Amino acid sequence: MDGNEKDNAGLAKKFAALGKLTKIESALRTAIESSKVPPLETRKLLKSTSSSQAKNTAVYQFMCNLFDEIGLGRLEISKKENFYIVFTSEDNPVSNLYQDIEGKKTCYIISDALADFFVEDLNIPSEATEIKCVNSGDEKCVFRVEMQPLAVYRIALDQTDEKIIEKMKDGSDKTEVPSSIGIMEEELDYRLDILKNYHILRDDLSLTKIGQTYYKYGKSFIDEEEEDFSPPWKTMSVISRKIADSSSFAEALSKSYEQETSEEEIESGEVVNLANEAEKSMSFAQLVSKTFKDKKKNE
Amino acid sequence: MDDIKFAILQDVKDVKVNICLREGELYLSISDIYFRDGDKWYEIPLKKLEYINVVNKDPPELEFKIPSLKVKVEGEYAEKLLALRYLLLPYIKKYNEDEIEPMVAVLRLWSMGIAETKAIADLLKTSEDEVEELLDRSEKEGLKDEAGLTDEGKKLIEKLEICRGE
Repeated sequence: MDGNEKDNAGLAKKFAALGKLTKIESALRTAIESSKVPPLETRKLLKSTSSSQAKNTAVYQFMCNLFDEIGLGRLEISKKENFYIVFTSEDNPVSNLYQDIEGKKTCYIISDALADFFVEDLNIPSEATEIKCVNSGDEKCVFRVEMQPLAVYRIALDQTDEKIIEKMKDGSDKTEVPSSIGIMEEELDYRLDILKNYHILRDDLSLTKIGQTYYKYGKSFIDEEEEDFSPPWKTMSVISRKIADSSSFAEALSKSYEQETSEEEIESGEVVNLANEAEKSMSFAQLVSKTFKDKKKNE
Repeated sequence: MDDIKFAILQDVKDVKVNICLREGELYLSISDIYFRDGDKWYEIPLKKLEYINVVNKDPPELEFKIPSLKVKVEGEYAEKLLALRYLLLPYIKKYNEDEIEPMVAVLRLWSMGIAETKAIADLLKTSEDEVEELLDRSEKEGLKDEAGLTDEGKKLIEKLEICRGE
């Protein structure tokens, strides 16, 4: 293969990758718009204290199926902490699009998809970063989603938790709490564990500093009426159809990549290298003013 | 790849120079991005790209940055522009040679427990804003987190030390 053929093959791969990314991006926009998750379900994920518990939640399973359907591959939770979740992906289709890249992370579209899902569908302000990537020499691609603590507290704890915190603050006897707030003893134990896990309560059930602050300021958002609507997995078939439609549209758009302007056409025109011109700062200013004048003249 | 509108912006001695928003086309080659404006082509070498940001979602607007110059691009189909950004992001040189040293210098002091930006700025004889920006950027790029330097941050420092023969 000579230099030109190599360049052409490289360019063809780049356009093929661009076509696939356009398709994924289009499917992603559609999926995110149609996948709002009710707080009740998000809470189950946030209250999970381990990755295995998190994997059993409906929202996690839905997210995995959704991402797979969009074309981002299968993600798996490998770590679940209070304010961050780590996802791992083996052999994801996105990393395969960047075969010419070595020593760099490449799967930005997956980290952005994770952030969008957490922000727009779970309503938790979050940032997602790819921390390991097969293209930078790691065994797997690993993504970390950092969630805003205040938003996590807002969704993870509900009115029953608030009542428990109030009882603990007042020094109530633990044994009296279930009957006074109408829950079973087992549920109280489960909720107390969660509150300890979130550093609201100490082991002796007294309020930590975080607990006191939460009690003082967190009440307002607990008192807000929680939105309740049907979870998106109930209409998964509708979402799948929308994803398929948007993918077909994106595919049609991508076909235009095949009718690209030829390099000869560029060579026949006047080419201004912006990087070089920008380095010659003042002369570029002249170039800009010349371009402006030329445009005015033509108009 | 798309009918686009684009603008070229440059700061020349505190004055913003701006080719107004122009109708055109965007063309991707193996090593460059071209913008067409009639018979004139503007070329941006991929290796000079410093960042590509989404500056507006509706209408979709991307900003390409090369040294001392920005090109703003507005396209009809958001997914095409965003996909282009994802395609090009890994090609962007993460740090310019002249940015590594100050970033490493700031990170070294920060990792030694000097948390105040003023103290770091005084030691490095630079401005607090510069230190703050470098710390923000190193966090966004995963060089540090609340627990300290990340593996990537440590690698960057080690790499510079090896280059210097330390």
